[in-house]
Amino acid sequence: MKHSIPYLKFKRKKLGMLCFWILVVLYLSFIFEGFLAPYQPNTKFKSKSYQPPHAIHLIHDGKFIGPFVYEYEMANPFYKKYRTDWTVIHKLSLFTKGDEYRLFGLIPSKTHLFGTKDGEPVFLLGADRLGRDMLSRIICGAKISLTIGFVSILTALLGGILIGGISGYIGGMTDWSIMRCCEVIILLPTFYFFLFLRSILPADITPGQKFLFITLILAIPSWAGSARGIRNWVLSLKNADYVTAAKLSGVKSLPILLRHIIPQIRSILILDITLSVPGVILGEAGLSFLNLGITEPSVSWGMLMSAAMDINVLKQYPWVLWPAFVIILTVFCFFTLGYSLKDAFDPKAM
Amino acid sequence: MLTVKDLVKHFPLKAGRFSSSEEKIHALNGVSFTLGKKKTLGIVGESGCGKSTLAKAILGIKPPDSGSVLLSPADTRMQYIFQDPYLSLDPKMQVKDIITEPMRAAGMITKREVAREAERLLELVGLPKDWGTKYPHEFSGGQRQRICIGRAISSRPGIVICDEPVSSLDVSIQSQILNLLLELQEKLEISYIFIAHNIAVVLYMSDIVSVMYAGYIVESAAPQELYANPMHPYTRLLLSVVPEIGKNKRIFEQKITGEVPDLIHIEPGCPFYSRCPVHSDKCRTAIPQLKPGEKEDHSCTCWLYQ
Amino acid sequence: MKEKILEVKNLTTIFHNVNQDVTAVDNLSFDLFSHEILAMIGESGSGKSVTNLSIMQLIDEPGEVAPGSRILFRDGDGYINLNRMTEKEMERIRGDRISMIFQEPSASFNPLFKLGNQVGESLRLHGQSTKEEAYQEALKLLEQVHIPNSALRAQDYPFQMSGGMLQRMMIAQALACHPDILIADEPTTALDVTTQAQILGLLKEKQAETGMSVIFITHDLALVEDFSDRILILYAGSLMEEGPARDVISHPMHPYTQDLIRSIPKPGMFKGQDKLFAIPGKVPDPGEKITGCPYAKRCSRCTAECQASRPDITEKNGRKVRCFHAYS
Repeated sequence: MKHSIPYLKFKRKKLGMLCFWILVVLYLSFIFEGFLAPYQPNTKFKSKSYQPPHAIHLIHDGKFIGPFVYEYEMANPFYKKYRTDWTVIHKLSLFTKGDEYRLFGLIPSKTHLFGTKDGEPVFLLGADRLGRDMLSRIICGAKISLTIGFVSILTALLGGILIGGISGYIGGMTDWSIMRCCEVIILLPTFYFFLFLRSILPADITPGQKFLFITLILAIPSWAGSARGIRNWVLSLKNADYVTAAKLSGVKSLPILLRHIIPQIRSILILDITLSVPGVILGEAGLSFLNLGITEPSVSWGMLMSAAMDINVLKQYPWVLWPAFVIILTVFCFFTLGYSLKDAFDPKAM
Repeated sequence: MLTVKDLVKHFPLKAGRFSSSEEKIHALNGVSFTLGKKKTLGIVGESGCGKSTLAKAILGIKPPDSGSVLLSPADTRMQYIFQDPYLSLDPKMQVKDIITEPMRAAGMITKREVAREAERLLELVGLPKDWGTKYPHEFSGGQRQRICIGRAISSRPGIVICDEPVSSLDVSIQSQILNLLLELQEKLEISYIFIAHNIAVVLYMSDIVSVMYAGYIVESAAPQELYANPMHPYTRLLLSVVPEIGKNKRIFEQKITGEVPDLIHIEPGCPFYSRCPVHSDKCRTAIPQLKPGEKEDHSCTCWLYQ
Repeated sequence: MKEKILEVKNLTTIFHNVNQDVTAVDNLSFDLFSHEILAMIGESGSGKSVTNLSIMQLIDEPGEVAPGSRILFRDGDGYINLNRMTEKEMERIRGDRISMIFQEPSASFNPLFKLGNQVGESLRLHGQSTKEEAYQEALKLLEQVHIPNSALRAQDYPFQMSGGMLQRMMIAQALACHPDILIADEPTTALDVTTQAQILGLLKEKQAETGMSVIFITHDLALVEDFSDRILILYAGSLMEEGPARDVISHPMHPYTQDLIRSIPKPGMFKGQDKLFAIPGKVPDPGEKITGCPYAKRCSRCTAECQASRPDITEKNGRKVRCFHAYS
């Protein structure tokens, strides 16, 4: 099998490759969320409110006894201060039984990747106000945060291909009017536009409906950008010699658009997706942070961050900021991957 | 079988959507000819002479402002071979689909028959018949041009317009393609309109040669006659500057005055006036009609022969 | 006695592409004498342009001129190896001692500046004159390349010029610093035949006037027979034949040269009467593994020997040829 040049070029980009694999791990993690997360996102341990992250130890009393954590003991119930009890240990082990969940949403199971042998909760990234495990919540939040980006961009692209394709292929006055409309949408300040659209949504909707609406809201500003880009490509391709050749042979307009023009912009579409997804992820995070997007009991990274809104909370329990790092990591990976791909597809760049 | 009468095409010079400029590029200024079955009409001229506009007007890609293109009913199918085989094949399509596209569009074959027809066409243009599943980037320029030719002849057109079909190919490949075109003409009884800037190539390929200048046909004759007795001063100029190997022609010593004609600001009179070594006052005021000279089938628009 | 102004020895240029290494120029040696026009003939992939970019040290990543290649340029009484020069030293040579003109003059001018300023630019860059002096010098140069109304045209921008006029401008620009060598890379390919004849005439005239040496690169063998003094025939990165222009054309020794001459349509050949000779096959792909003679696959004189091993260059009576079965 001979590999294409873009593929070989991409393989050379070490950072791009790394980001690609990080994203793969992130996406896989939410597919196996129930198994990877030690607890369900809404399992509360009332006595463990704001418990700091557990450190994993291997040696106790100078003896190697395998991975374990020391117990935290509530020192000040009012300020939620904890003290490590260096005498009580909880051994960790793989494939422990815990909360019941459905793997892939189908197979019921109680096995989790890891946990303590004695059933004592372990919080590798700490706990939130209600004593819920941050790690589990981040893993479960990935489901909404990562899919919303893709679903919304795919929706936007579909609209963009349709509108941009028609606009570029027909040309003339149609093209001119459509493009001016797109420009108006592009000119709207995106985030305020999100807020405006969100504010006209009814309040009493189910979480499922909410997810759908927010996806659509986030898609609106990006379809206009995609439509413009695709229109420019169609415009430059519709006079390509092979398109003229097809026209001369009597091939109809729609087959020409679908068979000769759209396939050429496949690589452009891949770039468009990778570079637009982070914007949508940030948009969702922003809305949810302001409690206008995803709300309890659903979990998303932006929503998790809203717990870090209070500076006093942040000062005392800095681990509530973990979701922010995950968002930054994801956005960084998408952009780096996008620019590596861009270089790989560009025949002039090495 | 193809009769073209008084084709005129002027392109408006528009600066933008709201500009109201009246200026036009006078690309074609009344071109007429007839083309018989299994014949080749060669059209030779320099850039801006209107030869490509003529091809596009005949095909209807850029419909003419006035004039008529009449085809005999049997030859309603016309095909076009482009100059650059790197631009005229869809890079994302397999060769078997490219080469049979006109047949599919015309409903001549079904999807099932594509592979078989592609094999036949590939063999016809001298490529291995099992290359149908390859993509254009796996082919060299000459091989690509063979695919383009295969595509053009696939729907059995009566007329194929070849617009500079070899000028972007390697020298050692050009003669292969020229000979292939001649061979296919014999086999399939196609008529060609063969457009090129190189008069040597046009003379070799054609049954009748028309020389174009500034949107006019200035001289028309059989190639042997045109080569032996060029009448129009422009034809003589073209023949004097075409490189000719082994003849010590010293083309760099030719005295050539003037510049290519301005197609926007048209002046009355012969468009070649400013460059013509034998012009007279008459040439400044009016353009002569294309008139037969002493010999039959040799016509020329020059006051010298009126 | 003519003296060598440039001596290229064992020039090898390799492009390290992602999927494979491509040897664009393979161990090429040739000399350029003073006051001569040397024509370099080749098709796509012959390495003719890469050779000259290598001389100018303009090969960019992923390309590389092999360190063993020697490009000896006469400097005063001795020779300097351009392949050992630093980028700074090369900047002083480029445009001053060795100039280049290209196929697309429109791509070589900045569309935003007046032509008069661009033509004299190299004088200013090489520190020989002020801006005003350079402009005055540019006006003189435009006159020397026979641009009508040169003072007026110097105020024009590149888009206002025809291809032929721009090519004249580029020649004027290249001649500004009185270079020892002018490299002309397909300077007439994009031009009409009448303009081509004019530009060839201009080059010939300027060469005679200034006594510079010209490397004239083209794919068109028919152009150079009486225009150049000597011809190099390149194929797939290798030198196939070298000799005085007229001898090479009238008595080609390499089968490739002979085939090329026979396959070029000449005026006076007609359909039905004459049949144009067509070379079978195609030019080797870049990076194609060739063990024997690069032309073996297409050659009518090819034997098992040609497939198995690469012939060396043999030299006789001022002619060089790389062939086991050369015509005598």
